[in-house]
Amino acid sequence: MKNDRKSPEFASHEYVRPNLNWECGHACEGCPCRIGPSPKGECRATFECSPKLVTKPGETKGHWSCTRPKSGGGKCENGPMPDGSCCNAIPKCRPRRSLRSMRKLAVVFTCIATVLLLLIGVSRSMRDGFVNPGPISSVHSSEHFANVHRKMSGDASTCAACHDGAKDGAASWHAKALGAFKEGLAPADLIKRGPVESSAMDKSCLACHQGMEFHQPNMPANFACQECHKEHGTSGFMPPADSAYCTACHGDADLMAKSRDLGAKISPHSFPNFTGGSDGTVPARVRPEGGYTEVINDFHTDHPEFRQIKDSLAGKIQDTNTLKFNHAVHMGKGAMPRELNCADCHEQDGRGEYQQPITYEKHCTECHTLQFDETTPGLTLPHGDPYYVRAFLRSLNIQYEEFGRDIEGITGREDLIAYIKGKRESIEGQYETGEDLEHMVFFSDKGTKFSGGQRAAFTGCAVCHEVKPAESINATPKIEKVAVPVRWMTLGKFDHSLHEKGLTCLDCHDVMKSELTSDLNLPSIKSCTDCHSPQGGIDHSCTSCHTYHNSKPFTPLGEAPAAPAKADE
Amino acid sequence: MAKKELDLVRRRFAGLLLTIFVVGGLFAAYLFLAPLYPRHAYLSGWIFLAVMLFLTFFNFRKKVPFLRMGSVGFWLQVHIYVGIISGALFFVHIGFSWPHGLLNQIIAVIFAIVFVSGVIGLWISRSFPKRLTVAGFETPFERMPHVRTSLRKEAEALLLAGVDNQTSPVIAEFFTDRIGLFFAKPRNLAAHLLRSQSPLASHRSQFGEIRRYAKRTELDMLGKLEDLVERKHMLDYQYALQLTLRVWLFAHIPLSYSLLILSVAHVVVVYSFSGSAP
Repeated sequence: MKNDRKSPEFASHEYVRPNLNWECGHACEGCPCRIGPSPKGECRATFECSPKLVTKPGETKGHWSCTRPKSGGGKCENGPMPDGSCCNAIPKCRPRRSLRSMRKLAVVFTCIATVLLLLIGVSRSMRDGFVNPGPISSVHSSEHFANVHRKMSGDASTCAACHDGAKDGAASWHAKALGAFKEGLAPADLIKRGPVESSAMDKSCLACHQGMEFHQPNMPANFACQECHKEHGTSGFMPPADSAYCTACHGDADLMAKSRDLGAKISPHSFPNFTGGSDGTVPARVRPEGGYTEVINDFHTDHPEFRQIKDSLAGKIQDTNTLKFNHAVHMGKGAMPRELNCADCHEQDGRGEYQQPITYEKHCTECHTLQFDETTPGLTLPHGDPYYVRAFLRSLNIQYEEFGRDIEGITGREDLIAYIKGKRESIEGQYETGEDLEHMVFFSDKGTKFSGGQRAAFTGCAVCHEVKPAESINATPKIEKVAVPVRWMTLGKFDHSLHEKGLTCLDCHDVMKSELTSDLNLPSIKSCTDCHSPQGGIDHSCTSCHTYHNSKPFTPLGEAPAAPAKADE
Repeated sequence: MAKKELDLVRRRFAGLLLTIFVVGGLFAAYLFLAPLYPRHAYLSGWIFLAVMLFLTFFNFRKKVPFLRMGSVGFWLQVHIYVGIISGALFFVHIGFSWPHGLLNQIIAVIFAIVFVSGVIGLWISRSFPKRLTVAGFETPFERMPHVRTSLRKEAEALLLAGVDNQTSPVIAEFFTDRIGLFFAKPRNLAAHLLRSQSPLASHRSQFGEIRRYAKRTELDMLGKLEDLVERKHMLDYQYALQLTLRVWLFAHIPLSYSLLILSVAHVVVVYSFSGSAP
């Protein structure tokens, strides 16, 4: 409810101008002088009026008359002094600033304080800490990094390791800022889509990170290191690159088309084809037709099926290992002397990421002995080279003698001769001739039967290997070199040990029905996206499998670069 | 009058709607477009700086009333809505996370103070004038010392007139001890800002007590004195609110200039350290 108390009334001539910088010191007492302070804030109070000398007709001296205006109270009673001065002196005051003037002063002081703060902040001793926009990662803030930088450049400021601006001091900042404004950060550049293109700062990164290759050569532009490697965010490890940086290009159909066109014009030798190991245990990775330019926005939505799976289904690739291996039989129950687990053959490497190579000595010999003589358990053929096998068979007397002496412990000469003779008769009973024995050893491929948990009797190399007849009479039969691939997917990384929790091998590798060595038995992308997706709740970022940086194209010394892969290969 | 008020409401509604639309657009752009535009922080920074310059321009606009550039009221409305947008722009620019680094944090803190003081100023400038009108005894701020002096002189004159009539010493003491100093300067500012009636109630209570010792002839004088005290309370109320209406600018304006200086420094530092210079 409004109070009806009336406002005080004032004479119109008493209006006070609030825009003046100074007001009379008596204003707070409610009685400011009429003249007020000077613009500089000096009190101008003297007398209430300047008496005027009035000379009436007939008067010679005249008399002083008060000139105080009506607004000041009109003519005073006492009138001017005989000497013509006013009798009412105005008491002096100390003018004070108006609110408006005080605000102006506050603005000036604040501006000066701000500039001082800036000057102190950018002074040499405080500069790095003042302008630093955030904590540096542990590697780049380490003492070791500072020492390396100091040795390389002689500059004590570690900021200068990356930033040119820190090298020359604050005096050069405006010039550098202007340079950046003209070159890389002009207004038109700010609305450019896609990743930040390579900048001068990358040179600083490459000063230490030498030899780092940047992705594929058919990229429309090289991108700045800082695009993915965000510094000044945390004092721990640098955060991993966000998938958004990858999909900024790989999710852009236009950019991918551009990249595809560019790739067609570039020499195939420029691409980092992985040629694989010389022993065939790691298959070569050839660049697909059009390169890696399929549009991908997310792993769980539109990431293409793994190439190995696609090519396998299309019949383009298969396991070319010559070893005859049947997963279904080995994993089946009842057919084996004991129940086998995947880990019986597939052992993880030291880091738990991949599987160690499978060897006969470690993984096969338990069941697949090379016992060729039924009557002499323990006497086995050498494994690994058919030449040695043939030499072994052609020196059976010596082999029986050594076995009898070293293993059976027969030391008497007569006893040893009798032992060898017995064995010779026994083996001759099993095989008509030595040639038959050799032929059986190399070429027999009869299936092995187990009974009562016994080891498999040796029936021939051809049970497991591809054996080719000797090319000449005295030559040794040829056994195709076995190369068990230890890694198929060379474009991405994988850590088997991380997948052991809650998953078995068979959850991803469906080997229970695999009867052929040529079966890849690799999991499809579907088995990955079940977990690696927002629904699965497991990390599905690009960098969890892929790395942006590539190694240089593998070119063994003295060899020409690998031939480019054909599209239909 | 009613039509004018309706226009004002419509104008404010339209302005608010437009502001909400712009703020929503900014947040949406940050969510959906920022990943595609890696230099969006530079872009939002420049826009932010331009917005801050525009907001500061309002202060200059007030100083050049002779230029026909629309009314100050219109520019104030624009200043308010653009100020709200600047808050959203600030969050977009810093990526919705509190900045690290001393310089950046100083800038952020100063912006926060300027923004919050602006919001408080807006609330003050919208609510206090109504309170001042409703309270009555409206007095121009610059005239308050004069009115205060008049009230004091009137009170003193009342008491002196009573002394001639052999006023009770209790009343004289009451004036000297409790009322005299009350008229000397503004009092109870915090209580008035909080709309507390306790100071007035306290005085009324004291007058109630002193009346018991007053002669019949003095009751009239005490009534007039109490009226003067009430008017002084009203004047203090006016003073407290009008002072606040002016004082909040002491934080808002100087820090705005400080913010501009630091922002320019920030631009220079960011550009010179960007690594984009040849």
